[in-house]
Amino acid sequence: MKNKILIIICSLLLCCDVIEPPYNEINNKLPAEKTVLIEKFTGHKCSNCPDATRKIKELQDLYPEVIIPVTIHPGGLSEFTDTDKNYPYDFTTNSGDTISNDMGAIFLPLGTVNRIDGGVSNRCFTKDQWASKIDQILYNSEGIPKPKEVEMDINTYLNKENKELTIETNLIFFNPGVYKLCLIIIEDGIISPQIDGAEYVENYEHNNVYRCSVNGIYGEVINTETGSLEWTGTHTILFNQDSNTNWTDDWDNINNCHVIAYVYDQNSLIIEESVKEKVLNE
Amino acid sequence: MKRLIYLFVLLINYSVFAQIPSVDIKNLNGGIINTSTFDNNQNPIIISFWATWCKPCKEELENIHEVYEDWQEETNVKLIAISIDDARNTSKIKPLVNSKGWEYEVYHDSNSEFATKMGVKPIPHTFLLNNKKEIVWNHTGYTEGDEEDLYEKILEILE
Amino acid sequence: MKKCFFIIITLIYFQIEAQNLGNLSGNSELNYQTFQEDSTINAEARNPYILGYINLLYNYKNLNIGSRLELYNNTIPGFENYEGYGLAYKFVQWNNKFIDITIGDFYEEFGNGLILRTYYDPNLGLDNSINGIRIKTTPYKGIYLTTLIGKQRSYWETSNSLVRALNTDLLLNDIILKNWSSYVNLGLSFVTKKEDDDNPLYILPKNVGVFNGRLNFTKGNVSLSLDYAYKINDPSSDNNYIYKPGNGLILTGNYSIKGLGVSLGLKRIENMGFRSEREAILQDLNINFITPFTKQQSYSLATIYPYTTQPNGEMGSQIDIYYTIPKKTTFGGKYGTSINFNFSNVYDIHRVTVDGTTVINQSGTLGYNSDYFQTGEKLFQEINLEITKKINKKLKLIGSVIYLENNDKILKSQPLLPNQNHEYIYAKIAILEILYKIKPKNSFRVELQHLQTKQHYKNWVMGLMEYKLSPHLFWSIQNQYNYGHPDTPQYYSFSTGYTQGANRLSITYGKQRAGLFCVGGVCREVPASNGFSINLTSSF
Repeated sequence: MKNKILIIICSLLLCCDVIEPPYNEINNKLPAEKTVLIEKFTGHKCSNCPDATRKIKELQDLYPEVIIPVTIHPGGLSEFTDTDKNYPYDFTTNSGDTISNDMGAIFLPLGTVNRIDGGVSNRCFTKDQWASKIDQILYNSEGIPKPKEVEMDINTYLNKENKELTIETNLIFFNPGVYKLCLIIIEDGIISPQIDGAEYVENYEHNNVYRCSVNGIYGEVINTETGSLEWTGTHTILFNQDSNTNWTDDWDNINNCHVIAYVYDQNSLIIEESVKEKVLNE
Repeated sequence: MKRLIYLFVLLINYSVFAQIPSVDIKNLNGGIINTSTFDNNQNPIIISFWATWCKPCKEELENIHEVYEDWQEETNVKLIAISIDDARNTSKIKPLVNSKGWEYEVYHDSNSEFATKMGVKPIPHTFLLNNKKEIVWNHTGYTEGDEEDLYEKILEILE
Repeated sequence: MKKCFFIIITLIYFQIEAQNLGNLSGNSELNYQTFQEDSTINAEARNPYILGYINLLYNYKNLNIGSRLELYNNTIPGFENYEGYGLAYKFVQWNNKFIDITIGDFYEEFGNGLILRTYYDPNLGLDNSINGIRIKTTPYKGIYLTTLIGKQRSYWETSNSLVRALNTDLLLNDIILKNWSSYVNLGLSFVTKKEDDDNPLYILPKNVGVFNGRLNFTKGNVSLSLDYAYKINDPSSDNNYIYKPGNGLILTGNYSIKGLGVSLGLKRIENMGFRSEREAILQDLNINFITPFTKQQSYSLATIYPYTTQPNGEMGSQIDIYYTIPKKTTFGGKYGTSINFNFSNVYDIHRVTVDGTTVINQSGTLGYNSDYFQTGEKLFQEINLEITKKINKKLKLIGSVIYLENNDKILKSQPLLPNQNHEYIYAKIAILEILYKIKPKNSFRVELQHLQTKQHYKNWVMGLMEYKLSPHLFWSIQNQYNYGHPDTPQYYSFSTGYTQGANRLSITYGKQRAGLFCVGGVCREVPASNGFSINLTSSF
């Protein structure tokens, strides 16, 4: 009996992994082939949310040119996203609110990772869970990069006079299936207050802000089961107040806008690939 | 779902003549004592579960305190008060008990291990043990006057 | 399968009783709540919520077998992962004077729970039991050893990490100080958790260990207690993935003589969140329990602004004085008067940025440096004074005043109105409780409470009347009126109940305010609701 207890004590005492700095892992894997879309749910009155933005930057350093962030401010969580004299800008949109609800953004900050499920709330994961989920999406268990499911290419043409954008989307699928394609517009460089921890930052730069969808909140169906594995489509959108209430006549930030196109499986709703392109190509 | 309710109703009406379970709990000196050592020389024992934040519990113990001497003289009954406070109130149990002058044996079941095995929910929950340390009566809740019922029960089992 | 199970249990029960083959005991609880829409208090309509469980315990000589069936239907927010029913708890235990072995699910606490405490609180939706093996022995008198290994419960599954622990309690008076008039008790515990590292950003420790030492000393009327814990690096969601070790120190002492008791406490907790899984949040998978220091309130308006435990850092103090003014003195009156004074406060710990970082608590770094004895911002403070006086055989009065400060600006736990921000809340509460014994077995109770504050939802007034008919019945009616709130909501409700032996049924109809429901510093948000609430508990 005494011996058994001694053995247990010794095995317990050996169980302490003290890690010495540097604490960051080195990524020895081959560059990834897939992309990951992160829909980050945030709010300008949410003090923990800038941490989530910093986390995305860390992840972008770890996986260069893989991560495409989109920032959505859910109107349903009005405590964090409504406007007042200290936080005058309205970042919310009706379509953004629908997405937040469906994805399960019940508190902030949360984010979807290619809309895989099994998150802490429906398809939403906490910022600390993003890293391991991204790794599982990009690499298989042996560390080999997973191949692309879809080859995506978009071209944009902007008519500066009437602010009409034409988007040409070319898709090549490697496997037949029923997919959906969704096109959205995001905007960078919006200067407006944000609370960061205990600090009120008056001139915070908000990036990747979701403005509107081009072809419906959840896009359109593309069926490649019968017929061709290639698809081409053209869409247009006007940068006016019908598309987003902040796009008034004197709005001047079209240089900082991007189109994001993403393709997802109609059954699992999981995003396969996404691609991002500037609105203005000079 | 219906089966659950059926089971509730069926089992509600049966009381158990059982021995108290044997569990290690704390005494107020930071030590450990096992509940199987509770003893009163073959006289009745009252076990009352309480907590420092539970008003009816403190009322019950206070009201019994006022007649405790008489009860002891007549029946040799002993009251063991078991606090189910968690660690938050550990240091307050002895000061509270002493300030009120209670003369019970007081113990601390900080993780409700003994209380769970006794099926205690909610407090106050009071049990009466006969001379063979079997549970012969128990009651939850307290209203002014309930201690008289308890005393009648003690007299009953002494016959 | 489940239906047969109930019938079998019932039959076994009667057989066992008849043949004296051990005994079957247990308890059960059933909660049924309806939710109607009510725009005056922001309550949503919801399907009726049912929460029920049955604990069964079979005992035959040295053998104990236990189980618990749980049922959750139409769960309220925060309980979604519990939806469904099943066998949530089961164990087989064999014990004699020297050894106690449990296989299955078990609850355990080391000392004050500072590094390990697993317990069950159905109202909070908390069950962090460990599923595995536990061995307890008493090799010599005064030496208590516990060792365990297992995985924690996570809703209907177990966590994907392993907990191993060892605890020793040494009652020195039984070992070496046999004839001392003082009592000295030592405690030593060690807990480790093992979890894989699948995080590509940081090198995470697979094995995290926590150590705890306790010392209790009692001599005459004085008792002193020291509780210290140290945790190695444990980057997790709780602390934003920093590599700083954690530590905790709790010092308490008390002095009491007949008629007077004083209790003092000091504590400092730093980075002592300790969970089975790094990414767990809210109430999930806590291994330890951090002793709260604030007074446990029972009056309703005193529970509106509770302090929520901050495992990442808090330091505070507490003092309690219990005094009974003796009978037959001027202030004591005929029966004596009881006075209870309590003071408690909590501060944040001191933090400064560490070399090479720009923000405090930056992920993937040491996090911060802290001056041990310096405090950060004040988080909470409360002064309580309660006087209990029995006027005559029929009448007893309890008067209470509370002055509290709650830094919700930092704690951010209160629900808010539109366009309202978290503020530092100052509140004064006055309470009067009148207990009147109309005639034997018939008692009447009145509670009047008032909360005054210029912040948050502003002022409240509350009234309650309760009539109890011993030993079975009670009726009560109450109203909490938030007259300072722009919508002036009233939360009125009517309750009645019936108690028979160890069985109790209570029915409440009315409105419940939104807020925090806290047990032991662990809080859950409760939404406002309007409807029926039925509660049935039974012990057998």
